[in-house]
Amino acid sequence: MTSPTGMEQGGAKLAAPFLALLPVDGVAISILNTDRRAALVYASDATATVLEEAHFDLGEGPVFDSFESETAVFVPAVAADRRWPHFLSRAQTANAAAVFVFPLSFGAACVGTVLCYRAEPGELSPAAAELGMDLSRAVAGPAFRQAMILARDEEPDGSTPGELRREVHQATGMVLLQLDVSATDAVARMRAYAFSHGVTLREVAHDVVARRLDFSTVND
Amino acid sequence: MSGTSREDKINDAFVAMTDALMKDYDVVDLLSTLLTLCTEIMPVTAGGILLVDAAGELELVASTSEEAEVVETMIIAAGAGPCIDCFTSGAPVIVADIAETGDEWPRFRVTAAQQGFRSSYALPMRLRDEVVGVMNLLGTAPGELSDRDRGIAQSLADIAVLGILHERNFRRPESISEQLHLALDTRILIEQAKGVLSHGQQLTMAESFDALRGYARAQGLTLRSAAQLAVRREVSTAEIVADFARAATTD
Repeated sequence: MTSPTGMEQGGAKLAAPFLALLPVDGVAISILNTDRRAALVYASDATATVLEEAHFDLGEGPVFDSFESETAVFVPAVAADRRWPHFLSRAQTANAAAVFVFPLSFGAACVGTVLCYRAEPGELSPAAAELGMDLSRAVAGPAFRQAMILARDEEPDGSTPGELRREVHQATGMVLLQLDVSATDAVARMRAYAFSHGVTLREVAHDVVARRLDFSTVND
Repeated sequence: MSGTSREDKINDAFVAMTDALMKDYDVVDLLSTLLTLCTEIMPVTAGGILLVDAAGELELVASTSEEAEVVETMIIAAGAGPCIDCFTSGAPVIVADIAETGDEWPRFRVTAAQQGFRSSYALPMRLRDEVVGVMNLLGTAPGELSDRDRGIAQSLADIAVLGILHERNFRRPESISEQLHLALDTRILIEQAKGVLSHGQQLTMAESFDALRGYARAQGLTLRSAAQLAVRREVSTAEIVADFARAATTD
């Protein structure tokens, strides 16, 4: 597992409702980039970690489909599915008989996924699916913030003032218009800019909202 | 609306709330209306409603004004101020004179003073035994709310919780948190939409909110739906602000 001890408690807290309320055995929460690189925010056990990491080893899997389509992707029967042969083979070896992936979105921006697995195959009921979508919506913001901290893009003690959070969302709206892209891509572009300029996402958002930074003029 | 006495206003408000709960409504809009009502019937000039997110932090979901200064004061109070204290203790936190709070919440004290706020009333929003948020009211004069006003404010905070829960029919206990999460997510969508309108039409964030709300009302949409249309670029920013611009020039 890659998350440092200090973050585990926070991640466990985000994963807890999935484990408590859905018929699943394990959960992995990840924040993704549009180039398919990911920060694993939290995994509840070794199997969840294996399933998550398999995506990046193999270049395929339901997490990518979910993230790119911004919809839930369910694999109720790993043994009978044909969509991602290499990933499914790895899932079987790890004793995951069913996999359910939910997109992590805040507002209109998709930033990652929540992967749930179960040792028993079977469909997720419509009520459970709806609940999973709701829980994902609930943890999207906090999970994103955790990933930023892990990537050292943010102060670890949460000392970033709350008012700057709104600026990230407002900047997302401005940038999506400046670049003529989706909200998801706008967030990704701001993150890429922050990374390559050695500043935090908050600082980028602040400059965008203050109209000091206009992405239509950026040549990255 | 009938006479302008305080009692009339309170009556009208409860009727309006009941009407709103009877049909499709937008949670953020409802909460904003509730807060505005508080400023009309009590000696307060600004208000905000904060809800707790999945990480246990308070997020500002609705306020009487979208002006940066009011928003900032509320959010600071949620980080280190009366709001977070109210949330953690589950008890009202009444600050009769913000200037007298000493070293307790330095940033809140300075920001509130800058904005001309002298008093603050933070009331817990409860669902059964759990505190799910805080309603915060700010006044420009020092002093405590009368017992009667405090009672009315708490009733309105309780109605706010019902308003959040009632947005969709709920069938199971987990749905309660679903409604809270939806309200929080709606606020995020609104912020994203404000960014789109602000850039597209060269408006301030507060003007963008007004334009979005005006468009939503004119089209019979929830704020959430209108925000989605703006962020997905399914409606142009020019179209969304059309009514707003027209109203501004005819004032």
